[in-house]
Amino acid sequence: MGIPKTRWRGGCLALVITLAAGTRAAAETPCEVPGKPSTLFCQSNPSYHSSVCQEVCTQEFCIRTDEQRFQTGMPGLCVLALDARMRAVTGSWSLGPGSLGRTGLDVSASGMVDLTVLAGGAVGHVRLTRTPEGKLEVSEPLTFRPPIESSPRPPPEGSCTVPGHRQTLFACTGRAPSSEVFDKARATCTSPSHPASMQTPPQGACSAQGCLTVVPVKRGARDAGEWCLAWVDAKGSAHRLPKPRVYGTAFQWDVRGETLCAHVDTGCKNREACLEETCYAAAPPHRLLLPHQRSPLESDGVYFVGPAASPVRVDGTLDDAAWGLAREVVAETRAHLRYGVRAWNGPADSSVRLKLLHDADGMLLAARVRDDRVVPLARGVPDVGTDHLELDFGSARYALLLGTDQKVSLRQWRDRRGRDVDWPLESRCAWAPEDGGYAVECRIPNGVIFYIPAVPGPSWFSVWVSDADQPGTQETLMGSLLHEAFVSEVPPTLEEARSIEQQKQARLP
Amino acid sequence: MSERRRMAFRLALVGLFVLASRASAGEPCRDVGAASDVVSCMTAPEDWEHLSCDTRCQKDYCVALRNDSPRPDMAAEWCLMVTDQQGTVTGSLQLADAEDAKVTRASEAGDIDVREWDEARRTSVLRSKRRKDGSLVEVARTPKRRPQTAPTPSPKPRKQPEASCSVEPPYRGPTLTPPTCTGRKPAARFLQEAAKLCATQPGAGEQLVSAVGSCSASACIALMPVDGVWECVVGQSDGGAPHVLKLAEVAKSSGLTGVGLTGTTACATFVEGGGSGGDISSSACVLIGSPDRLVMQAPPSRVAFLDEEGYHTVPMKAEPTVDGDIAGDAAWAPVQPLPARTDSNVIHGLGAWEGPRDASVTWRLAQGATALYLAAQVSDDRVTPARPGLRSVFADHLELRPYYAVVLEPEGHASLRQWRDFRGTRVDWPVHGARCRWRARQGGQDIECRLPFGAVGALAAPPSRHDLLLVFSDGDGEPRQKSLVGTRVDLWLWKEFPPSVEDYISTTWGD
Repeated sequence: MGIPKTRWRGGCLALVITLAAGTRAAAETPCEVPGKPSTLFCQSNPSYHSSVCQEVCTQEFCIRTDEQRFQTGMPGLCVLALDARMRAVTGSWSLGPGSLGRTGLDVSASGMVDLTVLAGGAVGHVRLTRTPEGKLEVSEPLTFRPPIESSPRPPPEGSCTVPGHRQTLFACTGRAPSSEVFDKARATCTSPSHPASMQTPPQGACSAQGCLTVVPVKRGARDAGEWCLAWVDAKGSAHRLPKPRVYGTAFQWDVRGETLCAHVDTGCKNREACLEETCYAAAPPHRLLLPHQRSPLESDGVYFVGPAASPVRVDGTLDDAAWGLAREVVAETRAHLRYGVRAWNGPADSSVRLKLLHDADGMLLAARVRDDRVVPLARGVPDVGTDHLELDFGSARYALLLGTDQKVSLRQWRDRRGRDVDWPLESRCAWAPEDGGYAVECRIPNGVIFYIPAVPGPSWFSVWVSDADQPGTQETLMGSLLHEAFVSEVPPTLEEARSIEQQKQARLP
Repeated sequence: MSERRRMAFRLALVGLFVLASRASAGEPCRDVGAASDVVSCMTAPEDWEHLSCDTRCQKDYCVALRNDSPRPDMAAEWCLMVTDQQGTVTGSLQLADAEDAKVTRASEAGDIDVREWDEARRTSVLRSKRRKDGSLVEVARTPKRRPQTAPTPSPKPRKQPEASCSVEPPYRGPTLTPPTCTGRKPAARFLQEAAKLCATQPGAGEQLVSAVGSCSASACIALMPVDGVWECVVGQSDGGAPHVLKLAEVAKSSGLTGVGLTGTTACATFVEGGGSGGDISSSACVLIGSPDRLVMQAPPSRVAFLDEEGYHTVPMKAEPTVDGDIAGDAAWAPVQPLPARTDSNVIHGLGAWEGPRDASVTWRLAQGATALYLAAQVSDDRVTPARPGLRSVFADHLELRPYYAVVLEPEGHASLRQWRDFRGTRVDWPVHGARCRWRARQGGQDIECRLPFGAVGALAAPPSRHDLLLVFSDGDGEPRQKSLVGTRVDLWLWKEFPPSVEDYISTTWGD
């Protein structure tokens, strides 16, 4: 599912080239003037939510990442080196305009700066060095995570291109529907306000399972150039395709078996990098077929959280049948590191496989963590310096801490305005040691984490695993960036997918 | 053209401009005769909307503010509408550029006032009139003003400050004309240190001029230009270190025109060019110290008090026992009450409301070390807790909008429920960790809650600010909400009193 391998590779490559070009240009034109005090304010104002904003200080200097507005008016990511005492800028480096994304920052006392950049859906790394004069220089250029091999997809059995500047009618290839199929499609598409046009012929393309038909319809008595898409299956049942969100921007529809796929241009500058394919079940209820599911490794993106089909017993064993149906998110590459590039010794040192579900009582979480040395909570050791999971909602942040007797405690570490707090919260969680790591299983009751929505509803959070091989030292933080959509079934119906999109646009109370 | 004709032409142009502006400001935003969505706000209040569903009724009409989109693809905008008692729209006015709005008056004679806030939190008042035919017309609109230095009432007129510096209005362009200062002259060393401090401010260029300043008996101030404008103010109290005073950040303004100093209290005034709306003036006062603190009038209570900018709380020394006994709990004694007892508090069901004995409430809010406490002393001639066969929304309950409700259960138990998720979707979730209790008493009931930070996810840690609509919903045993009596609260949770300037700025960031 998703973008075909060649296209995705091309897209990724184009993105790398675009950003690399931007990087070169920006390196010559730093984002702040040396000698001036920094005007960025990410640390001084805790309610500032921008997740690009980070700062790490040594005794001599500070490295800060933040959003900077460039002369073009576009924001972009800026990295600053500051004098620790005077806070004056000594050097800067930028990804250039339009390069926003979440960052991971890792700074050594010797001036080595590792930066994880998440821009445009791609994850990359760059290593900068702070010179003795305080300037920032690139020592390892920006590279993005390699494209993921996905299984090749068969070509579509038929396609219809949408009228545009080169054609006035839908143009379909593949096996054409019979006149009987067209008649059924016309009847399905006809409504009192939108009768089928008798002047413009319908078009269509068939697979072995059915036909996609495109019927021109009138608005009242007027031929207004509108179209109705209908699916007529091999048994002769006809269904009008409800207009999905991509309807207005699709430039091509493919039919492959019982699947309809819309090709959409998301509108960014580099067209090749911005083409997406969104697929639906052709038959009602026209489920969305999981866009962006490229591979478990490619886990940044939309994540659909479905219901547990059977009860989950929270004991840390993750052996309940319900987990078998949940999609897995894997974070086990260097690109998933948010912090601690140099401390990380590979997936066996720290990595995580994560699943989410929901039931009537709340959200269920299962995490299988690989960790060569498990460090649970201990007296005298700061909580942040023990192995734990973090649920990061941008401003609000929560932690799942490994306690004694295999209990896990849920704490809120940042409130909704981003202030540091340490509040205990109700949860039913357990952990268990495993060969080469540990597992965490958790039920977080509804409402306990304020930003987990009712179903159907969208949320946005990352799950990080924090590794401390030495008690008291947070060595690495790694995980995935997800836009969660809590739905009543996976894949979701178009109605739920649409409702979630609408909720994203709506103003919060 | 003669001078007189020219003048007449100009006047005519101004008149046309005024007429044109009025027409655009007071456009209707709902169709007359349409069934109003006010009805859904009123007749199905269990489907309670977010804060924008602010409805109040008089004998002949209801007035409501809604903030929503006329169509799904259009941006939300504020609409003031009046309806008849059947919920049919008889008139409406669009509120242009309003970010927030609140009905402040709806008289029996049809005089309706709305206070509006724009994105910059500048306020203005729209005065409108409901005519006898039900139509709504704009009568006047006051100029937009910045709020006075929140959260203090504007400092009382003082005697002449002991020391002061006045600056040429900066909006006429950068000026390096030094401020004129009166009072005792500061030591040269203080002025030098002030110049150094201001040189580290964002935008500071090479300093070509010296700092100027003045002293009271116990403190000094100094001014320096930044980016060509005299707006860096440094203060030092006796025994303290010189430091930059964040007066502009407190006032959320620029355009410093003067600083006065009395004792250790520094008050700055600002005038920003307000374009066609005229100049916008604001002021800010801070108490110079370590840390600097906001100047606030001494409140009647050091635990929770009300001023015109909101309801302020600081941590209590002794926290209440949550058992439903409010009057007998000494912890509540110093907490200022917040009454909701008049018909202007009735946001639904004015026709059914029989006066304060039927349904009214006196609220108290207080801050513990790890929780917010809430007390509601309810006057209610018929106490109706939830029972089998009567949904909790139709029983007596409290609503802490936009997210929570306190449901009264048998035997003095009460539970905090979440009735809206963070996106406003209707839910009914228990809030684990919160504790509520209630007690019936002569003429009503007392309800008390402990709302722990964290467990009640909508609460932010102090210092923080919360916009709440506190509502008592009166049930009469029937499957309906008889009336809703509410009051809107701008709640400030402070760590200490008076708050430090840093706490104040972080709390109001983004307002």
